[in-house]
Amino acid sequence: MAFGIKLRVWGDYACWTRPEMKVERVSYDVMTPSAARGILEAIHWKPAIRWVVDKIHVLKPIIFDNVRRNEVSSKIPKPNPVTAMRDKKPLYFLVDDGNNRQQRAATLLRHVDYVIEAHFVLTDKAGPEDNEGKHLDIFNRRVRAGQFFHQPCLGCREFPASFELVEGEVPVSFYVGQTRELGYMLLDIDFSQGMTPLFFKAEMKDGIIEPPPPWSAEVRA
Amino acid sequence: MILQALHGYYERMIADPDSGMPPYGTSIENISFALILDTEGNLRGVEDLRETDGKKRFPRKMAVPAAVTRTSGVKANFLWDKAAYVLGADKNETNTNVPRFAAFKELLHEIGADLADPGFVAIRGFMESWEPDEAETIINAYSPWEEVAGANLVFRLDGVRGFIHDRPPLQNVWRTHCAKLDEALKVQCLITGEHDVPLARVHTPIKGVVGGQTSGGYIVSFNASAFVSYGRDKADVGETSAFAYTTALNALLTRGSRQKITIGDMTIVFWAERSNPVEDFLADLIDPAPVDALPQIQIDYQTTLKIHDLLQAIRSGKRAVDIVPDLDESVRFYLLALAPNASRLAIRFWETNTVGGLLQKVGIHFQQLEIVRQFDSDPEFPPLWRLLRQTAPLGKSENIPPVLAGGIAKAMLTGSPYPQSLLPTVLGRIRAEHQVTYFRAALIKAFLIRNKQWEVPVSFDPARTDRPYLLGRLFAVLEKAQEEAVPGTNATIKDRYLGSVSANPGQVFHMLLKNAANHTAKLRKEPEKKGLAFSYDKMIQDIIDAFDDFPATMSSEEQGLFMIGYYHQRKDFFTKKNKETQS
Repeated sequence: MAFGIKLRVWGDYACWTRPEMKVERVSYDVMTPSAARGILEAIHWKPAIRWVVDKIHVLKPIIFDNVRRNEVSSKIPKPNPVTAMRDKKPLYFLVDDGNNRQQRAATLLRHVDYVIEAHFVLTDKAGPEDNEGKHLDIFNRRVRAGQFFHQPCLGCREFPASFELVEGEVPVSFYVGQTRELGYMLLDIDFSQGMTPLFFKAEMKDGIIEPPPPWSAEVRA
Repeated sequence: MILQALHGYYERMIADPDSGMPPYGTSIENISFALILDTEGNLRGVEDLRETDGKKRFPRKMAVPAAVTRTSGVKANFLWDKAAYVLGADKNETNTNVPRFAAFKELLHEIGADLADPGFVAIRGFMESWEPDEAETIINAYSPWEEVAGANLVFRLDGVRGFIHDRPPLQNVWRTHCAKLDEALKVQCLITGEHDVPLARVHTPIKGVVGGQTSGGYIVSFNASAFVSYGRDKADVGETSAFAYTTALNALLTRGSRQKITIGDMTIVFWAERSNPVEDFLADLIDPAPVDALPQIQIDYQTTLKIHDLLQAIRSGKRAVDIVPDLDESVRFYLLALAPNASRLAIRFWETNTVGGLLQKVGIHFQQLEIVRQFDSDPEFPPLWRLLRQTAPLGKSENIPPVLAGGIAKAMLTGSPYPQSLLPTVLGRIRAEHQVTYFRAALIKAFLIRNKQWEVPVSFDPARTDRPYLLGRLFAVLEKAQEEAVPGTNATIKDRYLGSVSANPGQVFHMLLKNAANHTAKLRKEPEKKGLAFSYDKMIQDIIDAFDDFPATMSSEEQGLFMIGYYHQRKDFFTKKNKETQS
């Protein structure tokens, strides 16, 4: 774990939507590993590296809340942006259309605070100019400067994540001394296998979840 | 976690043969009649299976080979179905029943082509010789055709116990048939974690949620393009797991279930990880019947008393085991609150706790609500629905703000703070109706204690010195003085000023005090009330001496405390009077 980083992320709201309950959204109890990966990638990612999430620390108690939001029922169909680009036409998506808009309830989390421990590995896209030290430096520099490619969010774009580098010890979790079964949780999407979702049995020990790497026997077996 | 816990409940119940939980491959359906056949397949009678409840007759719930999902088109069920399929006729005499009758016959041939079971042979014989055109006349000889024509029918073999669809050989062929259909995508199930299990295409709708569509709603659904991520328009739930969780939830939601409560627009179901007596009486804890209700049925009265004892124990912080010895407090307990949203179900809240922890939360709720009762008929443990009605215009259940209902129920069962809107809503009702009732005072008290950590006493506290409480007491004294001086007025100062006096005491009290001087002056002129005038003057003086000036405005929390002071002082007047009459 020579190239490990520790990133603290927090925010007022978070919704780590469960795949089975994503219409009337219900959040997982804690951040999923793929969401953690998404936050890291929002700050720094290149085809040459792949992030691997080692640990997720849950610092604050898990509090659920209910929110009703106006959402839409459709997505922009794929051909629309293609033709818009080709014909130089404006692309529009009518959000306030009564047939498109709908109210949906969400059971989400309040006042979350996590520390993500992760490292990255070089992929086969890495060229001779890529090395671990370089990307680690870039990441750390970007975090300290508050830079990102797109705003990291806590599960939904409406819930932006604040972030900072943890340089010393990880703060003590609310759940120290407790073990909690969180059931099966989404680990990640296997993009090499036709976007197959992978699940793992999540267990929180002392407020820490250690997801298995996506190719381990625990996931495949 | 929700689906996992429901799956666990199903497995717990299926292990108990008396639970009536249907095994995989079956579903619980409403069946009204059984056709009695002899071994050749001749109709020998029609048995009415319906159960009477009062004057109405309800079809019997029965486990039958799982129903197909019929939206449009013709699809038959195995060994049972509507009259249109089984008899080829129903009330509307159209040709649409011909293909239905044929489909039912064809499915029998397809599944049991070479089956020699006498029950199956009888049904096949019946189908071969049956004339749909004469259905009405033949059935009328046994049972009224209008009733049979619209109902679901099963078969029974004459002189043999049980129904034909329950015969083991037929259950076997049905299971083989179900397994054969599983050519679905193989996935990792997110409920059990098993790999390469057949994917559930459609999840059985959940019925019995108040306000939902009668055909049921879905927890898991992907009915529009916006809900699809990574091209997956189905949740990765195995067929058997999907069956287990929907069946378990439907069982919890059935009519007359003891594990279901309806509050406002939500339906709460609850269950324990292992069998636990709390499952039987939690609904009574949340909506306790008053003890002095007419003891019509002795058993019910006994239960009510027992619940009352239990409530008193948990309110004072004692453990429930002292009252219910066979209670295991360490068992995990689940609460799931559902609310309908179009054809889908939204999860209002989901709470996991131990039995002991849950009872403790309920106890704290009642402890914080506890306030001196206005009338002896007021319930000692106010049921949730009566509390909620106090927040609604005209006291009607349909006017209860849904978010408030959910929030209060959640606060009671999980120990979370009461909704922020509770206090303004209750104050608004008091302003509109000029009534500080027992329930409203209790709600304000609980809110101030839990959300604001204020100290609010259960009953009248003359030593208390904070201004809002004193102002509330003062207003009660002024009102009483007016009542004595001018009995039978149409509108007392309470009716005119209860709203404004709590919000702007600085403006209103000076005028009220001037009026009160007139009232006591009038009392002094009546010889028998002279003493009263003196005591009111003294009370007003004592209260006013305790603070410096009248505040221009008061926050809603202070207004809440004002109402408590008013309620306590007023209650105190009447308590004293009772003592005088007794002595």
